[in-house]
Amino acid sequence: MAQCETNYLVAVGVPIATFLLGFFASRFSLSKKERLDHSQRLFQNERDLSDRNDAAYKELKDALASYVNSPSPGLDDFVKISTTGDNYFRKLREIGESMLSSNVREQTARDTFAPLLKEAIEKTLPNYYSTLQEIAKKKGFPFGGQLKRENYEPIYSAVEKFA
Amino acid sequence: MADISHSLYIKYGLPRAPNSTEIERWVQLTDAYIRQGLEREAAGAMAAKATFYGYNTVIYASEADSIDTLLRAARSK
Repeated sequence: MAQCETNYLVAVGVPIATFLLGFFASRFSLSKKERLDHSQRLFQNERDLSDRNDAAYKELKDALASYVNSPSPGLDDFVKISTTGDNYFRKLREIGESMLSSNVREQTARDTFAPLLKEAIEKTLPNYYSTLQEIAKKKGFPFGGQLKRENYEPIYSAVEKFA
Repeated sequence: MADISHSLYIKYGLPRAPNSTEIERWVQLTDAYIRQGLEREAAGAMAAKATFYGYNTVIYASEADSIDTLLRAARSK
């Protein structure tokens, strides 16, 4: 009787155990293809972030250049700077968010994106706000923008983590 | 290869990004200079001068530098 029970346990238990083992092994580990797909996705994401950042950077540069080159820059030119500037910093924020949520490779985060964001914190952001405030005051444009860390938290956090 | 090409392009102020053949030649030359006893940076620079077209003819400013310059110009407007 005992012999029969053991046989029964082996006959049923082994397949069940194997199934569970296989299920969890595939569930909690990545196959080679999945790993490659994942790294390809990160790479694509890095390129998208860079492209969008480049485009925003170019727009801000153009807006600033047209303000500087205009013989008598007016409110329109000023608003263009602040719109493209906001957009530029929003793209930097997105980069910071992607770095923090591991949607880019760590190496790229450290080597490429962190220096970019660090410079933004140290130079561009403070300079951008003080310049806009100064121009607005001088010319009587309405501008209430102020540099607040909480508006750019992902940029600061990403730099603290990766730079 | 794209990454190193871009880094060399910025570091040595080249007018265009070096291709993989040029990079390989640069690596070999740098190695040779280091084996001759040169310091790493100096070896890299000498190899770059010998290998790349237009060594140190262009200065690349970072995004922050360019925006800074323009902001300063706008401020004095």
